[in-house]
This record gives sequence, structure tokens and C-alpha cells, in this order.
Amino acid sequence: MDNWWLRALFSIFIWPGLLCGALFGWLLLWINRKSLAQLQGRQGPPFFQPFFDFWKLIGKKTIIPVGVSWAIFYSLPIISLFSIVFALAILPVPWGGAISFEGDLVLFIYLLEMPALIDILAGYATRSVYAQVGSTREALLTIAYNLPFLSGLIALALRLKTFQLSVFTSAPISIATVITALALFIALLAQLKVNPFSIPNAEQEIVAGIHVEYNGLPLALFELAHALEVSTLAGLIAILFLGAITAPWLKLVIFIFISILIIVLVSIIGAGTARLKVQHAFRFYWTWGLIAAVLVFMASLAL
Amino acid sequence: MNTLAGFSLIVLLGGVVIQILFGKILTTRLKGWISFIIGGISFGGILSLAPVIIRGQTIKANLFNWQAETPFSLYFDGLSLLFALMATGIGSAILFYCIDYMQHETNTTYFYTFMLTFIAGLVGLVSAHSLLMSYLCWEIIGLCSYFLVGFWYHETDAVNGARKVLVMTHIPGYAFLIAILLLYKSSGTFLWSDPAISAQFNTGIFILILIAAMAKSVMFPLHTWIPEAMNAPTPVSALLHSACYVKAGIYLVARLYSIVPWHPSWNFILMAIGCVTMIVGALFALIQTDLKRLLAFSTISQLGYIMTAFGIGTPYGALAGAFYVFSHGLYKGTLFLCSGAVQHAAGTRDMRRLGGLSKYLPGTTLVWLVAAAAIIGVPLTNGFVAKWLLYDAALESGAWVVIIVAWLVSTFTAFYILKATVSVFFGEPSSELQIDEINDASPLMQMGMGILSVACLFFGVFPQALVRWIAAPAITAMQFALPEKITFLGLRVDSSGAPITAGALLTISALLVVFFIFALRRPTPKGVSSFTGGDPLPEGGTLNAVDFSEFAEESFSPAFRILNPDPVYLWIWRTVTRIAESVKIGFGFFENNLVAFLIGAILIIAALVFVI
Repeated sequence: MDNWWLRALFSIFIWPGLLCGALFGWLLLWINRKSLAQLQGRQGPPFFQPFFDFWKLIGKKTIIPVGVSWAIFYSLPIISLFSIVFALAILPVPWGGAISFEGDLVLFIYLLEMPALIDILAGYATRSVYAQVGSTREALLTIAYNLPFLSGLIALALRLKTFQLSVFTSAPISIATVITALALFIALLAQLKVNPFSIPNAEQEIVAGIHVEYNGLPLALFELAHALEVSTLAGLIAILFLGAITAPWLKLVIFIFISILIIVLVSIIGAGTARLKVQHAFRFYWTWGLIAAVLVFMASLAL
Repeated sequence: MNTLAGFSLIVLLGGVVIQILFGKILTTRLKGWISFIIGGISFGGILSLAPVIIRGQTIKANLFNWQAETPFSLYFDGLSLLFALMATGIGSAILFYCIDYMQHETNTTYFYTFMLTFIAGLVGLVSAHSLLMSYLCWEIIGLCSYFLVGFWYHETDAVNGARKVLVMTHIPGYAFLIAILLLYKSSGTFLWSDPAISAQFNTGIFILILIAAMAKSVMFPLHTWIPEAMNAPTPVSALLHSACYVKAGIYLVARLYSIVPWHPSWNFILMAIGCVTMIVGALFALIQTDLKRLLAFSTISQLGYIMTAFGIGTPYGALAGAFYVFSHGLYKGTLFLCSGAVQHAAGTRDMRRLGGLSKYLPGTTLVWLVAAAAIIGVPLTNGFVAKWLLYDAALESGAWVVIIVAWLVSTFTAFYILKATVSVFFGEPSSELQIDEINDASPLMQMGMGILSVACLFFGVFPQALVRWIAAPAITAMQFALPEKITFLGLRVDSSGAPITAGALLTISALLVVFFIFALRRPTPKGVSSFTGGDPLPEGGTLNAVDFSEFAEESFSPAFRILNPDPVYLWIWRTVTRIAESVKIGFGFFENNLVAFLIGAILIIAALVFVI
């Protein structure tokens, strides 16, 4: 029992939770920014830049805009961070998976949804028009990208007849896995708010969107939650491909490799596309997402 | 113990008598207090039955004899307990809220009389042993809703709404009556527990009962009355949506499991109706601008979930349904009471004219946020557990369409609830609001809503309490065996239940600690207003509810035309009116023309004589 406790706490705070999740997320974010810069013929940031950003923000004085409740202002990033840390702790990475039970996928998905919901609230709670525009866009995207995202995961769950994530990682790779990964990847672009779906935080139009009024520590927490989100979402796709491997260290290598590959792909797509309008993005997800959903269910149930 | 079975019913009806007899003497507040106390006592009466029922026994009693068939006998089992607790428990919280909410109204004797009869009607329905008594109570709650929705009878909208409620639920109610009479004709009894009823039950009877249940429980396409019922006082809406009215249909469908083993096609029909209803409700909720109408459509969608859960037809499905029905009562009741507090404070419930109320109504905002989290399905709330149980039940039975539809609709739920939340409580206050005159709900009202929202959190963290004491007896009564143990947070785990609990407690305590740390170093606002970049702001300086969802509206606009059955009903309504008009004109001609009348009468009589 005690052993389990330690392992659960270890999952939440160290691996794959808060500490390693943040470090891995920063690594992925750095790769994202660096490769994007290289593709655009720029130098790009130094390796420690995501950490520097975070550290600098922590040291800054927090200013709360007039008319905004401090309790709401602070509690939103904290809830966001907690949700994503717990989601990451459930992810069955190599040497992880201490917290695993039948139905953990449902909890995982709901926890993963939380940062988006919190963002939408945060945009309105801070009373800036830019943030509100960002929020409405984010809200609209959530009912769009969830179609391929949920279809992919549910189809795989039906194939394996379980909502337990650890079964997902040990399942053999099939066509269904590949299509699921593809569907998750389509959704990932909007979940990470990168081009062509960088609509909620479109910096040229609405400054920084949702987080425009956030500063100092609360903004640092939001940024940290974002880094963890990157780890979780890239990791979620990566764990689907670990079934055939038995050696844990090799699993880890493949896990990191696939995560990095995903982020590089994201960068390439980001560099190669321009931002869509929100209604176009919505239509994209409801047409291509629907096609992906049909394909993934066909592959899972028929093949 | 048997004598206690009718106790709650008699107390509630006693309350009605008190209201009528002393209505002239009592003050408005006193009437409210008396109603609340009556509600509380009847809740206590139901609770006192719980230990016996949890042990797996049933309680039978006879209210009074009436020939040999005893139409007024009561039968209390787990399913009755679930619904009766909901009606009296949530009903009492709502009555408590009424004390302050209704204090400036006139005609409150009328109001409280029908509120108590309403609750008594549902308690009677769920504890009726005879199908005749079920039908009687079924129509009593129908009539009560008519009178309560039309409480402000001098307003045209309220009267029209009440008429629509009555017409659209009363006519399908005849299907229930026909089913009862058909069953009586073939089996010779009205008591539903009689094996003869079970033997004579067939798909036709099922469909007839389902039609009645669909109208009461707002299933597509018989759902269009509920948005019109919004012109009622808010406590009435809360009672109608959360505990009493719409749950009656759910009860009837769930009760069918006690009566007869289901044919697989029945499960399919129910799941199909449930899935379509949840989509339709959520889609229409997206485009609403009236807060209560939005909540009304969300009720349609949520009841789709509940029907689907009961439609799955496995022990898990029944458990999910029983859990969902109670959870929905809690959070939907809370949301309605909050919307009432908003209307009370701001004088409007048009979301385009609201905004930024979190600063003026902090208590209401907090309660709303908890209930909103519950309906979205945020972990640590009862809504999450309910959804989780539903998905799991659907996965277990292989109903994959149900999972994907239910889950996608839950993202729509998040969207429209967020729309309501941000456009009422956050953002800039609308320039039309009289900010100086806005005060938070009174402490009594806040307590009424607060109790329900605390229950949402309690059953989210300790769902096993609800499962063991309320849902388990209900599914036993539905002839299912309780599947496995459910632990904290609703996660089905066999051995490692305690660690999950620990995880939940860890989260809560960590959040509290962090909150406490921030509370200690509470910063003061520095007087910096929101950044606008010097740009001129749009009118009002904020986005409203329409801006929030306009793209979604555009994208789904064809669906709104196709999925609205109201034009069909209006066509039927107008045609019937037109036929009645022409009949009136025809007979009017005869009335005014004695000669024509006589000739006509002679011709008809001659024709009759000739035929015979």
C-alpha cells in the first residue's frame, strides 16, 4: 500500500507528472520554436529560452485589472495546472502508469478538456475585449476539434473493449492505430493553438488573445500548464505505438522520438500555412474530422 | 412501518389544506415557511422508509379501500425511493428559496397550494401500486404545471405557455390511459406488480406508454412545450425541470423494467430517441439568448442522456440512469434557482443585456460555477460520475454510437453552459444594467441554492453514498443486480479504491492550500484597467451572448429548420381550429334559419328511417 502511495505521488510530481512533464514540454516547445525559426530562415531561441520565460514571469509583480476578482484571477490558472498535471500522471508512459484503473481514459479526457474551459472563462473574467474574442474563438474550436479527437480515442477503446489507457499502450499496432494517431494529430493542431489554427491567440489580430490581461505568476502558471499540455498531447499519440516493444528503455526512446517527430511535424505545418478564419477552421474540422471519424470507426470495428 | 408509507403523501396534502384554509390569514412569508416545513417533514417521512428499502424490502400500504381492486394502495420500493427523495428533497430546497423569492408576490396561496400538490403528485405517482392511481397522479402533476406555468395569468406569454404545456402533455397522456385499459382488459387487474400484467405486456403497450413518457420527459419530437413553460416563476421552472415534472416520464420508463423483461427492440427504440433528443436539445441550446430558455433546452438534452442510459438495458445502464437522474435534479435545480436570482437582481434574463455580474452577485456566481461544472462534467462533481457511468455502460454493451454521440454532445454542453456563464457573470456589465441597484440574492435564497450545489460536490467526491443508498435500491427494484462496488469519484476499481480516494482528497486539499496561500498575500487591484491598445471599442465595450455563438449558429443553421417540429404542430392546431370554425358557421346557419333547420332535420331523420 505504502509503495503504491509513493508511486502515485511520484507519478503526479516527478515522472511523468509536474517536473518531467514540464521539462519535456519545454524541450518540445523549444524544438517547435527552433525548427519554426529555421524554416523561416531565422536564428531561433537558445535551448533554455522556455525556462527563462517561465522564470522571468514568476519574478514579475502581478497586476490585476480593475474590476476583476483576485480569487478568480488566481484560481483559474491553478485549476488549469492541476487538471493537466493529473492528466499527465494518468498517461501510461514507460516506467510510469502507477495510477491506472478501468475507466481512466474518461477521467484523462475530461482533465485534458479543463485547460480549454478555463481559458474561455479566463478570457471573459479579465474583461478585455481581445481576450473575449479569443475566448469565443476557443469555445467554437472546442466543439470542432473534439470530433476527430474523441472519435479516435473512442474507436480505439471499442476495438480494445476498455477505457483503460494502459491497455492502449500494450495493444499491437494496426491500421486502426495509425488512423487514430492521424485523427488525434488533426485535433492536436487546434488543441495546441498553432498555425493554421492559432485562432484563439492570434497575436497579430487580438494581441495575445485569452491571456492578454494575465501577467506575472498567474501567466507563468498558464504557460507551465501549456508546456504540460504539449507533453501530454504529444505523449498521448506516442504511447499508441509502444505495443510491439518490450524493453522499457527502448520504449522510452521511441516515446521521446515520436513526441519530437510530432512536434517537428507541427512546426512544418505551422510554418507552411497561414491562419484560417474561425469559420473555416470550424468547417475544416466538421468535414475532415467527420471523414476521419468514419474512417477510424470503420478501421476499428471492421478490420 | 407500513403505516408510514402514506405519511409523506398525507402530510403534503395536509399542507395543501392548511394553505387553502388559512390562506387569507397568513402572511406571504409565513405561507412560504409552512410550505417549506411541510416539504421538510415529507422528506423526513421518505427518508425514514429508506433503511427498510435499502435492506431490499418493499413497503405496501392501503390509503383507503375502494371496492375490491384497491386503486389507492401504495407500493414503495427502491425506484419509488429515488424519485420520491428527489421530489421532496429538491422540492424542499426550492420551497426554502421561495420564502424570499415570492415574498413580494400576491396570490401566493394559489402558488403554494399548487407547489405542494405538484410534489404530492409525483410522490403519489412513484408510490402508486395501481396503474389507475398512476394515471390520476400523472394528470394531477400535468394540471399543477398548467396552473403554475400560468401563475402570472395576466401575461399573454404565460397563458400561452401554460396552454401549450397542457395540450402537448395531456393529449399524449391518453396513450398511457389506453395502455392501462388494454392491460386491464386482457389481465383483469390494475396492480402493476401482478404477474398477469407482465404476461399481457407487449410492444404495442410499450409504445403507448413510451409516447406518454416522451411528452412528459421532453423527448424529441414532443419537446417543444418546455421552452414555452419558461414564463413561470423561477421556482416553478426549477421544480418542473429538476425534480417533479420531466422526471415523471423517466420514472414510467424505468418502472417498465420492474414490470416486464424488455425486448431488445425496446432498448434500441429508447436509445435512438435518447440520442436524437440529446443532440437536438444541445443544438438548440447553442442559439438561445434567454438564460432560462437555454437551460430549458439543456434539460431536453440532459433527459436524452438519462433516457439513453435507461435504454441500454444492462445493470450498468440502469445504474448510470439512476445516478444521472438524481444528479441532474441537483444541478439543474441549482442552475434554475441561480437564473432566478439573476433575474431578481438585474430585472432581465436576456443574456445580451447581462454581463459582469460576478462582481455584484458573488454568492450566486459561486453556486452557479459549481452547478455549471457539474453539468459540464468536470471531475469532482456528480455530473462527471454520471457521464462516466453512462460511457462505461455503453462501452460494456457495445453501443458505440451512444458513446460518441453522448461524448460529442457533452462538448456542446460545455459550449452553451460557458456561453451562459461568461455572458451573464463575466465580461463587462452591459450599459443597460442599473448597476447601483443590483444586490446579491438574500441569504435564504443563497442557502436554498447552496445546499443543492454542495450536494453536487458531495456526490461527486463520494458517489458511493448515492450509489449505495439511493441508486442501488432503485436498480434492484428494476430487477437488475448491482454490478460492482463504486468508489470515490465514481471510478470503478476493485482493490485500489483507497488510493483513488486519496488522489481526490489530495487534489482538494492542494487546491485549498494554494488558495489559502494566495488569500494570505491577497494583492490589491492597482487601478489598471483592461488593455485595449487604444482602439475604439465596439458598442458596450464587450461581446454579448450572440457574438459568442454566431459562427456555430451559422454553421448549424440548416439543422435548426429541419429539427423544429413546431410548424407541424401549429399546422395541426390551425387546421383543427379552421374545421371547428367551419362547423360553427355551418351550424350557425341552421340556428338562424328555422326553416332550413327544420328541412335539414327532416331530411336527416328521413334518411335515418330509410336506412334502418
